[in-house]
Amino acid sequence: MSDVDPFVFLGCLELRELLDFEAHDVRELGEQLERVPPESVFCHMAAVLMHRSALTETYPNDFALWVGSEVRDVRLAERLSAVDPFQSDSMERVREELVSTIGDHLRHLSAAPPPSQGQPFRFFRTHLVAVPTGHQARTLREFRDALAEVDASVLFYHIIDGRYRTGHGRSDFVEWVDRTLAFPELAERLAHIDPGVGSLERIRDRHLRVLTEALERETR
Amino acid sequence: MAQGSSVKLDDYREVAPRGAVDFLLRIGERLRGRRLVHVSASRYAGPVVETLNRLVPILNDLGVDTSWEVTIGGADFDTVTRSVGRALAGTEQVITEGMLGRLRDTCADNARRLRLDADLVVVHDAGPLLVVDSRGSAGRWVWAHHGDLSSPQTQVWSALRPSAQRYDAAVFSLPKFAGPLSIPRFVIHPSVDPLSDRNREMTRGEQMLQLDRLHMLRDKPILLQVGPFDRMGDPLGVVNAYRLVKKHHDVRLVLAGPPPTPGGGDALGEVQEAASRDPDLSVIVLPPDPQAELNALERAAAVVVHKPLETDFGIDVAAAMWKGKPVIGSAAGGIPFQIPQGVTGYVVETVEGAAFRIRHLLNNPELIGRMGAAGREHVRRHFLLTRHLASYLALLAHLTG
Repeated sequence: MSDVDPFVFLGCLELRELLDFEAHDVRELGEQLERVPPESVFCHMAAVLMHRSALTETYPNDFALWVGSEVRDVRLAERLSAVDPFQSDSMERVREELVSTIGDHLRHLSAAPPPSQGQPFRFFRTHLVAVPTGHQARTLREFRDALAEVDASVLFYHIIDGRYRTGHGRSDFVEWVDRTLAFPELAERLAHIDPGVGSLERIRDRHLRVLTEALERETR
Repeated sequence: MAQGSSVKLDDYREVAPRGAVDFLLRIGERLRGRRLVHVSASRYAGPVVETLNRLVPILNDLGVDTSWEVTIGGADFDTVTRSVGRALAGTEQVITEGMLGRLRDTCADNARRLRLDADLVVVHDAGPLLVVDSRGSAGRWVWAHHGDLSSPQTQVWSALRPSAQRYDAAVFSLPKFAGPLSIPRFVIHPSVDPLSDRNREMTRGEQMLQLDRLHMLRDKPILLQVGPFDRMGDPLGVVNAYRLVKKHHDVRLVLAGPPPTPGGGDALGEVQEAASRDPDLSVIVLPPDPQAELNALERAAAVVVHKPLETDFGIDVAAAMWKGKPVIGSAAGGIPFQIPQGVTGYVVETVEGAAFRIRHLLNNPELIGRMGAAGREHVRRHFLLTRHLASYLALLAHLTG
């Protein structure tokens, strides 16, 4: 039996709680963003990956989506879509960037910001309940094989939530491959997979491709 | 055919997302022994009932001790419950103090009769709402209101809100349906059951048999709307969209809906009149419990239209997408939440918009296949019963620790 610390795959259940914060135009969106709990920023910027269709060719977060579809301010929607939560290790920094982007946009508007033409923006927060899947891995091959089978919420828990939960700014996968398996180059390749690729299944496919290539190199 | 309690969670392996069933089994292990009670005003009709019919046995299978209690009352209890339900949905009703008193007394009687000792009690909709007035200190209580509570009738809501506030949390199917409450409010979307008669796989022979029974011709592409023959269902708007399409494409329109209820169905005569002058327009008044018929109709359609002026979540959209059909939907209720624009169909605001999108799909048949496949995957991930089950387990885990 190997004495390597196993990687224990956890999945997560998600519960979305509606908060009392609402925005009817872009100015209110910026004001409310300063007040809502960080779990709400997480819900609309990162947890959006839990709900989106794999093929949606639209803005990558709820704020950009609302500004684009309800306020119909394409310029701001595009700027908000460029705020990348996966480049940051804290939701407070993401919040600051969103507020600053909205503030800058408002300063350059020649008129009052237009109201939403449809629904107001309703703020949520995400509650995650972590649950062991029963899968664990001690080797790279076991890790790849388990990753191919697990529920998609495992990808979310370890790759998306993990980077903020641990404060490392890296996914749990990258941490384990780097520190436990001591494969720094592979860890670097995994770290470069863009979580904004569109869906959890696509993120899974990218990881499996990189891991399979590494295993093939190992057996050559 | 998979029916009611004979269905096991394992039966969903072939249709649920990868890893989902195993994960649900693991969650069940973690929550094993907890007791969950659902309370509703009926065991026989409505989408909540269909969902509970499946969820309750599966939850028990998972090890969560789950029961389903039904409130009963005197002769006018159902009438009062329906009136209160409509009032909470914002339709003005005449509801007297006497009616509210009887509702309160009936709920108190039921609270004494029903077994409500549980870690989590989930009370569904308006009928049993006031059962909470008799709650003890043990266990957590959740009120699941499946319709629109955003603009309830003021007088009725003023009387019921203090009781609603006694719950530990409320659950709504859409954020915009959430009522003005200061308790935590969660959003859980409804689901379709892929193993029900409405949604299960169907052989071509069985499909043809069902369509023959409905006297449905299959010689041209079929546009289908399923919905009530009333103003809110907007079948006449769909007829007008079809007429715009018909100028360019040789198609059939099928409007299928339940028989009119007293006071409803006020558009049936007009669509039948239109159909009498157009052999390509069919009006099908469905038999009772038309699950297999709807399954066959949706599978036969090239494009499904769901264009009500008002609706609740409108889970019929997901049912059609599960059969691999692109859906043209209105912006009402939960329809926009189910159709990623341009991916699984289109959300439209006008008759002309519906016609334009239908023509676009008929002009690009490869798009029909691509959107249909995307729709099925979208439903698999977000609107299947297995996801709904996970949502209830999340609620149980979150509220009971």
